[in-house]
Amino acid sequence: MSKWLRSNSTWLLLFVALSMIGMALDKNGHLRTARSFPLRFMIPLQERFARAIDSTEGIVRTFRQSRELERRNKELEDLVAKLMVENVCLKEVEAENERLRQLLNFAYAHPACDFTAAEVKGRVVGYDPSNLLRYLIIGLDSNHGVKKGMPVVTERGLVGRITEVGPNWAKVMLIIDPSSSVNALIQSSRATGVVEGQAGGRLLMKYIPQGEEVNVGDIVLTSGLGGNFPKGLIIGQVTAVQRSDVEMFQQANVRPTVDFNKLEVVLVVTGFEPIEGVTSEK
Amino acid sequence: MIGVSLVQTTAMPHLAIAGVKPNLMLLVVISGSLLYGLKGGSIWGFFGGLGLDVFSGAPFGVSTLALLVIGFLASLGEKSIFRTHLAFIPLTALIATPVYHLVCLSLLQVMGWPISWTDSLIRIVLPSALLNTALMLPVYGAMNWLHRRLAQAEIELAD
Repeated sequence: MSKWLRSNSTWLLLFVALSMIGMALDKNGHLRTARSFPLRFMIPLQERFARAIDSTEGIVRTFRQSRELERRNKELEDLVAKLMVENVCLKEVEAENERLRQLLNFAYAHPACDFTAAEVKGRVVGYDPSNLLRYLIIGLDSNHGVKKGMPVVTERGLVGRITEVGPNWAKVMLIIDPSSSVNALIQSSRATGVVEGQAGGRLLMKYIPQGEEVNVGDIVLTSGLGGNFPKGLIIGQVTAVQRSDVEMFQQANVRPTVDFNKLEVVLVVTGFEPIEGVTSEK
Repeated sequence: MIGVSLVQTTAMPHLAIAGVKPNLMLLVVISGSLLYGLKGGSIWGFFGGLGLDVFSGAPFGVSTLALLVIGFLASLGEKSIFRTHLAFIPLTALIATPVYHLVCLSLLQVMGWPISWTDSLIRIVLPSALLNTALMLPVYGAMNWLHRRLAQAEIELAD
């Protein structure tokens, strides 16, 4: 028995067996509690690590750039983000106004661009360790009103949605994750499609009907179809269009407005209840 | 391993190039396998994978199984006569990174996740392999130093 235990292959086989049992249990949801238990204690450590890393990075940045340039740059970036959101909102209001004028007895919900009444801010404490997936972990939980399926945004646009909530953490699947899909529309032409995450952190808008006008520079918004996200959230901007006469649909490359490499604080839209049973995962 | 997991999820994203970050845990497991052999490699792979699975959005066990495979394969290099050659160490990372991603992608596909093999290979696997290869020597150097310190401490205790 002891000889068997001392064998190196036995250890490898034992660990492989344990891993596969773990995978099977996790698939059936039996490992949920066990999986969230270590995170409960590691999240405070991770928050400290994240703060330390951010502090170190800040010191290095200070030596590299002059303070004035940095402040000015931030001001301009905030102004651009604010103006972009305002511009999108104004165009939406204008388009809505036009539609309401043409229709009789039509009730239409105004796309909410301001979530200050129903939002909660969460600090990003960590990212998915793999390059294959795009998730992040925020320091919010159900005590903050956060639930699975809630949209996550920043002032620049849509970030993703909550996929898992723990005792002192929540996981967010980013829209650039390969298994993410968001019902979307082109702001100018109102052409609908589905924005899917691609390997390498890119976005591709698919299933745009042939004949619909799609141009480089067009703003892509959430359409609200499917009930996973509120309508009118900014996703990104079209950077290239692929059309083919033999294909049923067009495709467009979309550059997200959110910089996913520099997320520090996000907003969870707690005032929006996604429709149960419908997920935005492919 | 907890420390490496924390660094992987907090610091490594800041070192990302073209959206791809180094996989510190993978490099640690490869180094551990080269230094400690099959049993050590299995232990490093198993616990390293657990550390990643806790933070990951992937199904549990994907990173664990993938790092166990790497732990096993890298441990074959423990007895290699080329182990002391300077180019051998980065070469293990260059080979191990695609193998690691191949196992992860295969497991994810089996579990029903949408996988684009061509995109993943070009945009994630190849850049990851180059990035990990560049960092392998410093990581192995640190692990080797730790290994010698621990071995020296054991000898002193035995005396």
